[in-house]
This record gives sequence, structure tokens and C-alpha cells, in this order.
Amino acid sequence: MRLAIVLLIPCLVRAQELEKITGRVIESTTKAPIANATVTLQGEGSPLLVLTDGLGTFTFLEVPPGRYSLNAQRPGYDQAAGGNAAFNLDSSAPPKPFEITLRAAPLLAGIVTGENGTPIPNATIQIFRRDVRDGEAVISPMSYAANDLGEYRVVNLQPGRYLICATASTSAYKQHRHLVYGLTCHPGVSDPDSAQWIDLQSGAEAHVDLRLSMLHAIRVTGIVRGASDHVGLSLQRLDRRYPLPFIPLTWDNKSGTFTVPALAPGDYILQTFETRDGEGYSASVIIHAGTEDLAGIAIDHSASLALAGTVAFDDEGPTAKGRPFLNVQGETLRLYAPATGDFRIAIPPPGSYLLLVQPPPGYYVASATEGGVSVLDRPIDITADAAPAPLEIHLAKGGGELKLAFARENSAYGEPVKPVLLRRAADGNGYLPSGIMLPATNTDYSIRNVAPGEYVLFIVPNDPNLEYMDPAWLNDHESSAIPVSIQDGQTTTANIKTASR
Amino acid sequence: MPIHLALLLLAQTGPYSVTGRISLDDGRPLTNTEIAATTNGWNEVVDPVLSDAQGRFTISGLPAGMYILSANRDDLGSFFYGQSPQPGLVTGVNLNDRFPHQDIAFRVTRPATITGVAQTATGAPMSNVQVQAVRRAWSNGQPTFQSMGSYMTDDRGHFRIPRLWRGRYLVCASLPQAQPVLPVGIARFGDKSDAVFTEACYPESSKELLKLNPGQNLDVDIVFRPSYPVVVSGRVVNAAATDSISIQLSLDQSPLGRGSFSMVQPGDQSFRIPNVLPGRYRLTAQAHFNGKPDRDLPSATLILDVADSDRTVDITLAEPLRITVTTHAPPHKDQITAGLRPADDPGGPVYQAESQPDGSMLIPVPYPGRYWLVTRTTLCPSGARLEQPGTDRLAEALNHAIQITPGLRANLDLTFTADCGEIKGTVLDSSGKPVPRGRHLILMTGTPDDPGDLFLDSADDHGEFSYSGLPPGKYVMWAWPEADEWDGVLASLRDLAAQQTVIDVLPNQTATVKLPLLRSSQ
Repeated sequence: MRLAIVLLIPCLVRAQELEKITGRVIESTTKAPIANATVTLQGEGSPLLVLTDGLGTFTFLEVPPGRYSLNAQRPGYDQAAGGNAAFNLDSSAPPKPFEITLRAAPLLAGIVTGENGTPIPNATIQIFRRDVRDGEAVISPMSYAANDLGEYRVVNLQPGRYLICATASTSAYKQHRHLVYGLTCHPGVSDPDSAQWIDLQSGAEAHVDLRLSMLHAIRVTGIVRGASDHVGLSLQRLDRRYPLPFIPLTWDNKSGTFTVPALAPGDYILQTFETRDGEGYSASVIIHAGTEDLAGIAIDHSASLALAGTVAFDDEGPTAKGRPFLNVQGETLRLYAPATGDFRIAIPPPGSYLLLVQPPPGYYVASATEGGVSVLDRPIDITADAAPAPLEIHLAKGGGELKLAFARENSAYGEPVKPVLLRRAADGNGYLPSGIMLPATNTDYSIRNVAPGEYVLFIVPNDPNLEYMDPAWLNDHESSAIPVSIQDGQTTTANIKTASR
Repeated sequence: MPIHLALLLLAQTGPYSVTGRISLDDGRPLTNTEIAATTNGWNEVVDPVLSDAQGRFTISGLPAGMYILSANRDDLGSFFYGQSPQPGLVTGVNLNDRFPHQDIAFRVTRPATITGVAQTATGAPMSNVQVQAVRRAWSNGQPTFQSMGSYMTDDRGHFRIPRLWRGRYLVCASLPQAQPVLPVGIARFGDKSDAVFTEACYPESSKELLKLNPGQNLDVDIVFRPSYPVVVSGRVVNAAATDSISIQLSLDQSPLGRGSFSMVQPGDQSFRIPNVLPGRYRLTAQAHFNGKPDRDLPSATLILDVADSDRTVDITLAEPLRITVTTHAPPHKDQITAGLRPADDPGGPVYQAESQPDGSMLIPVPYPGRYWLVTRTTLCPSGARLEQPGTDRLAEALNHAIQITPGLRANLDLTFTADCGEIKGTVLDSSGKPVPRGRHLILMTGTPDDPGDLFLDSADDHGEFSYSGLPPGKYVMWAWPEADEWDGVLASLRDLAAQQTVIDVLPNQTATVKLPLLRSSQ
């Protein structure tokens, strides 16, 4: 009998300590239950997972007290507000059933047909999403393939505004008859600038059918001089905002001859590219495709243009070695400068580019010039027929420190914000285009190695869709911004007060 | 420049032409179909043409050369003349002064489609899972699985694999790594299940394949069922203590292929391989020298059936099998290949002789057993003996299976002659009409009861076939339509003995044969 009591007591204690956690996963708008969602209960140890049943419900049994987080996920759904929960499990106050909400991701589907309504197998769906990156509006292209019935289905899109376009490759027979499918955008226009943006919010299901028109195409032939086995050739629309996934061309890099069998009307850039000993070589020519075939187009790769320059430090430079290199990312030229040296990249497609220099730790950008003119306060213009003057980058050690001090109210920080540090232009009008984007936060931190000069610190609401680099927005908010003067070797503090939470 | 290019184009044209009729496999003409002729280097020489209301077309102005003919229609997709189910293999059309004009029958087999859903047994969709349609095919005289198409399932677990050849298929979905099986609705803290999802096929047994006919659209559900990984452990017996031994465990004849490895360290002759899923495996132990596997050192291979519980197995190293090959042949241009196939598995792998750094040829026979010699050459084998050096033991190996005993070191001495015969024939249906692309099987050695070297092939568009390099003697053959696959025939050669066609082949002579289709297939 004594033995039985001894065994029983621990069992009772254990039973009292363990709790049951129940809940339901629902769609945020329709409140419909979501079956087969994976619910994760994360405590101190390994996570415990369960799939929701047909009613969207879940139960975790015999859960010991502790600190837990709970979330759910399922393909085709995004986390919504209320999509996760953190809580203390305490035997004195068993938790109420949880309700976890997921947002049905927008769904885009449709069919691509030709002029006679026949589905076009394996058509290419080209979707353009309007995005905001570092406070500036950008257009992000995405490509998807239709199936053999011309049907497409795109899930897991972020809510936002989209242009829906399609194109397709044409058979050799049609190409020989100067027929090609051009880019067609909803609602049946060939110019993306005239197309209709579609607002796709959570849970939206948009069905967009696209009927592709045959366009009269031209044949383009020519030669690449100075071609070799290592030289590539590509053709792309000159308007880089709306690139095509692929424009077929054939070329023989032995003889250098190339043929674009069928090219829709428009402006294009034909470009060679080669990387040799870590340096890039490229030559290009602009093609205006009208109604007549073009022959004898010539590109001289041996006279390829380059974006070249030098990185120099005001001391012996960092101990880490590595060759400076330059990357083209959209409309930005990113220069990584681990050490002193020369760099050369193939000339990018024509356009205006912003130069961003990434100095090694401990250094700041003292100057960046093209032919002696600063390119920190203006973009670099690239054309197809002439290379820019060599870039000269000077990096200096030290710089100033900016400390961001966030005010607290009743020991609590306010809403997180996104501070943006913009340097005033030398003439006092406006700002340098390359601002310093700081992480969205509401707690104190410092940034070091800031180039000495006069700055303005904008306190931007933490809204990912806000185009705060728009001059109008900056002008409207300059009065509430904080002027900051950075001195070499000194720390400047900016006191920031944000809205109460 | 434009003039130069135009001249170049004109200079490339010629007086030769191809005409033909394009039709579907059921005989209906394909109208308004774009037909293009390209060179072997995929260059177009003349404009593509359209087929007329009878499916007829003419491509003229071609210079001499080998051409690839392709057809394209929006609703059917693209096809090649003489396209083989084996991806990338097509038949060219040769034009030259001897054959300035070719008239061809361009038959298009309507593509089939497999659609379906991948899901768990509880109905949860399996999204972002790679689904492959693998087709049972023949390659170089032996059966194999070929991937004919794949698709990543969408958020609903749906997949669609179009443009498939008719044939027998397995549709398999596989995860990049094992995924734990989650409980539905209720989970208990502290409970831990070892169950995982890894792959699933339809049909669930690879012995029952899915038959796909031309133009067919099959809808299948692939159901993932929990697998329970187990541990395979054991000891290596007769292991050398001075160096390491590699242990390899790989699935035997898996259409998708998966395996795992473990290494035994010096001084420790035990091994333990966790997370092994049920299936038939090949377990191999190989002694190493200086950290590298060495085929001259002892090894062992055994077939291991793993079910749903841990397995303990001892594997005994033996002196390696060493079967060398020497050949005696008159001067010849083509390569001679020779190999051994396990006699108990007519559809199994052939272990081919491989060149060694010292110039010798070695057949990597993995384990002892009964084997048939398999040769491929334009000459013909006239003698084959298995010799054990240092002994006077000889075994006839040409028309008999040979016994490979543990640790056997022997030489397979092969003699070839140019005094071969050949067979030319036509596959005919019951009305005596040729059967285009009719399949046929020839038994080079062995008997229907104990098949040796067997070869399967397809007739051409006119139902014709030929075999050269045949040693004089009697051969037996069978034929069946293109749409029927080999599986049933191979499994029932013994039952089909009454329907075999026997051909007498004499040296330097051509035997002609009219090969009827199997009665059951007509």
C-alpha cells in the first residue's frame, strides 16, 4: 500500500502540470477553416508539429509549462496578422483555444491563345510587379511557363500591383514567313506602358487570358568581328524595364555570323560579352527593328568597351587582399573594393547608372570621379558607342560616427522607423542619390566610417511600399528631418522620438 | 553584306528533294503541318513547307547531305521523322547522287499525357514535389527505365506530364529528402514517430506498369505512404585489419535510384547504416589499399531485402572475383563488347568488360552465380571458354551459362570470325501486311526455358529488320506490335515456345524470314 501511494503522487503531479493546447487555422478574410496547414509549437526543445484536420483544428496534448510560440503555414497562404502567437503556458491559467489566421496568397491563372483562339503550348508568361526598393519604385520581372495546353497558374505571389504579359516562340515555318508573337499585355496591348496594372490583394483570384497577335517580324543578319569561342552574344529590348525572357538568335562564333530569324518591331540592343582573366569585355549595337530586314549589322568585339577604373586608399589599404570588382544590379553599379587596384567590367547596356561603392571595414568613400567629375552626386550615363572615362575611387580611413538615440516613454520605445541618411549636395540643393539606408528599428545603435559632410536624417515610417526617395516626399518631410554634421574622428548623436506604440 | 549572305544561301541549295506523307499513327493524314528539313548541325537550308489536305509535302532544293525532318503543329507540338522513344535519337534522311530523291512515310505517334495529384494517404496535397514519368525501355539489348518527363507539383499537389510516348510507365514522385510524417489533428508532446515520406509511385509496385496508349490522357493519384527507416548493421567477416573497408548499400534496380554509404574504420569491422528505407538493396563490402578501394583486394556483394525492422547481417569478404577477357578476331573496324548477365534475371543488368590501365579487359562481376555471356559485335562469336589459369579446367561459355564460384580467377577466351551469317526479315500481321516498327526478340543463345543472350529491337517504317554478325546455327524469334511492350513476352518465353519462328543461319549467307506477330497480340 505504501508503495502504491509513492507511485501515485508523482503521476498526479505530472498530470496537473501538463496542458492541452487547441486551436483552429482560418483564412483571414473568409474565416474559412484551412485544412492540412502545418502548425508548429516551438518551445525550448525540438518543435512539435501537427497538420490541421478537415475543420482546420489542431490539438497538442500533454504540453509542459513554458514559453512557446505557435504558428501555421501552408503553401498558397501567407502569414497574416495573428498568424503566430507567443505565450506562457502556465498550469494555473490554461490557454483558450487559439485562432491562427493565414492569408490566401493571390492566385493568377489563365490561358494563352493565338489569334484564332487555339491555345499556345508552353507560352511564356512575363509578369511585372511594381515594387519599392530602398524607397524607390522599381519594376521586378518574373517569368513563368504555361503548360502544353497554354494554361498557366501562378501562386504564392506577394500582394501588389502587377502587369501580366505573355509571349511565345514561333515555329521555323512562321519565322520564315516573317511572323512572330510579340509581347502582349493585359488587356491586349503590345506596349507595357499602355497595359493595365492589376491590383492583386490577399485571397484574390485573377483569371487573365491573353490572346497573342502575330506581328510582322524582320530578319536581322550580321557579323561579330573579333569573335572567339569564349564570346557570347545576346539580344534584349532596349527598354530594360520590360525585358523579354529570350529572343532567339543563331550565331557561329567561329565565323562570327549571326541571324535573328524573326524580330518583332521595336528597339533592341545586341551585345557581345566575354570574361577574360577576371575582366569583362563587351561591345554592342542598337537595332531599330522596323518593317524591312536588316543585313550587314556589324559589331567589333575586339574594340569592346569597358567600364574601368582604379581604387586607391589614402593609406596602405586594408590587409585583406582581393581585386576590386564591379557588378551591375539593375540600374546600380556596385563596386566592391577590398584592396587597391584596377578593375574593368564589360560595358553595361545603355542607361543611367548610380554608383554605389562598398568600402572595406574602417574606410569611407572620400571621392568617386569620372574624368575628374564627381559621380557621387549624379548618375553615370552609359551609351552604346563610347565608354565613360575611367572611374577613380578614393577611399579614406576613419570618418565620423553617427549615433542614433531613440527616446523612450515609460521605459518603452516607440514604433519602429526606418532612418535614412542623405548627404546634402555640394551646392546645397537636394541630396546625393546614394543615401545610407539604415535598418528599421526603434533601439539605439551607431554607424561608423561615415564620410565627413553635411547630412539630413529622415525618419521614414516603416512602410515597405513608401517611395520616400521621391524628391516630393523628401521636400515635404525635410522640416521634420534632423540635420546632421559628420566630422572626421567625431561622434554625432541624433535624438529620435517616434510615435508611441 | 546582304548580297554576300544571299549568295551564300543560294550556293547551299541543291537539286535533291524529299517528298512524303505525314500521318498520325492511326493513319489519318496530318494537314497544315509545318515540315522543316535541317542539317545535322540544325541549320536550315531551305524554307519549311506546309503539308496539304492529304498530308503530302515536298521539300526541294536541298544539297546532298543528311537531313533531320521535323514537323510542328500548334495543337500537337513538334515531332521528328524516325523519332525514337529514347530522347535525342532520330533517323536522318540521306540525299546524294545515288539517292537524289527520297519519299518517306512520316508517321506521328500521338503523344500521351499523365496528369494527377500527389498526396498523402490522409489527403494532404504534396506540393513542390518532383514527379517523373519513367518508361520501361530497352537500351543496347537490355531493359532499363528512362525518364521521359517530369513536373513539379503545384500548391494543390497537381501535376501534368505531357508529350509522352506510348509504353509502360511508372509515375514516381520523390522528395529531395525524407519528410517527417505529421499527425493529423492531434499531436502528443513527447511522442516521436520515425515515419517519413520519401517517394511514391503509381502503380505502387514496379512489377505492374501503367500502360499508356497513343493520345491517351491518364489521370493517376500518387499516394505517399509512411516509410519507417531502419538500421542495417553487421560485421565484415575476414576483414583485413590494416586498412579500411567501404560498405555501400544501394537500391537494386530502382527507377529513381537512391542509396547510402558507410565506411568501416581500421580495427573495427562492424558497420551501422541508419535511415535505410524498405526495399531490395545490394550490399557491397570492398577492402581498401591506402584509403582507396582496390578491386584486387577481397570484396563481397549480397542482395539484402530490408523490411520494416532493423537488420543485422554479416558479410564475408572473399578473394575478389577476377574474370578477364581475351579476344581473338580477324581485322575489324567496330568495337567488340562482351559482358555477363545473371542467368536468373533475363531483364537484369549486363556487367560489361572494362579496359584496365595495363590494357587487359576485366568484367566486374559483383557476386558468384550463374551467368550468360552477352556479346555485341559485327563479327560473330565462334567460341567462348572459361579457363582457370594453372588448372586444366575449362567451361564452354558460348551456348551454356557459366558458373562463377566464390573467389574465381579465370579468363574468358573469346574467338570471333568473319564467317557470319545474317538474317533479314519483315514483321507481318495475320493478313500478311508489314508491321511498321514491329518489335521483335531474337534469342542469340540459350532456350526459351533458360534465355541467354537475347536482343530486342524494332523494325523500320516498312516492318523490315536485319541482324548481322550471327554465328551459324539455329535462332528463334518472336514479334509483336510496337504498342505492346516487352514485359509480357519476356516473362513468358517458355509459354511462347510454340509460337517461335526458327531460322537457320549459314556462314556468309542471308536468311530471310517472314516473322508473324504473336497470335495473342493481333
